[in-house]
Amino acid sequence: MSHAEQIVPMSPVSLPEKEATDFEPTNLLSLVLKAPREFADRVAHDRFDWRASLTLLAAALAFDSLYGLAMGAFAGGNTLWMTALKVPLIALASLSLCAPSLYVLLGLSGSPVGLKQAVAVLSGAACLTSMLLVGFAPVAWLFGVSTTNVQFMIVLHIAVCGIGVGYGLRLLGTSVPSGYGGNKVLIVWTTMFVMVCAQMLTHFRPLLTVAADGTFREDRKQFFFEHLIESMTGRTNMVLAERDAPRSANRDLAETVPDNAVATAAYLLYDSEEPAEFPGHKKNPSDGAEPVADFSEVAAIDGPELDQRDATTESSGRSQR
Amino acid sequence: MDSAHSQSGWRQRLPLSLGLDPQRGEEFFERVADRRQLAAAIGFSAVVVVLGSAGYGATFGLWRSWTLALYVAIKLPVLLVTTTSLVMLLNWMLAQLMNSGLRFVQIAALTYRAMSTASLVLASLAPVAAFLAVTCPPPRPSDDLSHNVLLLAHVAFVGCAGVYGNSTVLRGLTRLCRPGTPITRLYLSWLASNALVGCQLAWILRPFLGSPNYPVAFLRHDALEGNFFEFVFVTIVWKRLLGG
Repeated sequence: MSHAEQIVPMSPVSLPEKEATDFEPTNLLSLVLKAPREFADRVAHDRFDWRASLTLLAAALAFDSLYGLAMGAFAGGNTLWMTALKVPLIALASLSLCAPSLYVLLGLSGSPVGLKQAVAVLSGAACLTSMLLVGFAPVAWLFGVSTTNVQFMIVLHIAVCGIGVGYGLRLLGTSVPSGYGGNKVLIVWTTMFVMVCAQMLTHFRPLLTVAADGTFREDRKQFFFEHLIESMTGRTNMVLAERDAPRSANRDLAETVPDNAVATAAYLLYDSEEPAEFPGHKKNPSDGAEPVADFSEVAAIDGPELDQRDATTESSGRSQR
Repeated sequence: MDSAHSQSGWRQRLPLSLGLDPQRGEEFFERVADRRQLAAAIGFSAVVVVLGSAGYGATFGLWRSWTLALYVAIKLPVLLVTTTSLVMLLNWMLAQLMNSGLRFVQIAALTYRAMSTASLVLASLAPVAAFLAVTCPPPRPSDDLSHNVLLLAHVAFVGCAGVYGNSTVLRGLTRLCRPGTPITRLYLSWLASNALVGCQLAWILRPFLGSPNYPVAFLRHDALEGNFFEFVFVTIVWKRLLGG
């Protein structure tokens, strides 16, 4: 091999690039998250088909479900799957209820969006919101498993959802012709949407805990502001049912009363000063201020007889009450 | 193929016919100015008014009972169509007085169009109103909170629809009247006539939301006694606010 041959520059070989279609789920998610302007541009030029919108919507629901799971970690047990189901339901129902008015109000304001565009805009906004919620899910989970303060958790989730929905609505404003600046009606619609979300949340309550009767949602109808006030003042009829489930003694005790497991757990773990009357249990005024579950004895004992002894002690204590 | 074409044409035509386009229904005003196919335009608007307001009316009564929902689904279209029809003659006279150059049929087309725009907005808000009615606390004679909150929500929704309807009238007058017509004065006089007749008709046709203190009925037994303005000024302003 001569020297001249060695220094001849090699011409670059064009390798076949991996064909990346625009509507791959990962591309869509990064489009919404990283390039909202481009997303808005595509929607404005009607280059966002139904399949892409539905992909975004499905991703949004999946992410919402994950955040619901993190929310449910606060109470654990059945709350995990219930809240994982409720959060996407709340998002989907709120969007469905408010979509017709967005379409009509924008059309009458001279900034019309087609049906396909309206679905794309709402799916994009829902997806961005849910991605931010998923980003906060580890934080929500951490606080959920490490605090017992319901009020703090409410404030935390309101703040997280506020950030998520805020960014989602900003994307919506960017994607709609003239945006918030040129469409005052969009502000009215946004206010209505937030109120519908809040009422929907109240409809599917409780999210952080289980209902007093253990059902999927509470039957009693309430306005969202009433529910918020009750929750923040600790007057809700909710139960921190499986809050400390890993404690074996507690679990065993709950199993001894299978017909009323929720009430049993609630009786043991409800840490309000004035516990509510749960089904099958009448509150005795004399024990209202006591710590409901005292596991100090349990912690001091080690050995195989622990569970049996503790369950017996607590059961007899409960029956005396 | 043909059906696909006609379907896409239908999908494009309907939003245009309803004014959901960038020009906000300018084509309609051109039609009114040229007096082309106005009978069809009025008929289409009337259909939109009936369907839209019936849908929203049902959500009005839903909170109280299904029976009242059905009653209001009938009464709200009656209210809107009757109000529009009753004020038509007065509106035409006012338009002549102010030398607008508008013919009766043009005024009919314009006022029905405004009412159809308002009804369209109401129909789009109906899912939210229905959701509120279904999820808010049920009627209790001792508790007015639900009634008042729902009433407030409906006032906001109907107000929003009214703003859109009136903006259609104003744009129409701006496009159609002769130069030199006092458009603002004409518009305000039309607004006043609509409010005068509409409020009294609504008073006669009550209940809409259904106060928990009264039984569900199509019309109140005292429907033709008193009037809306007497109630507002005497009962609310004079007796309750001023302690008269």
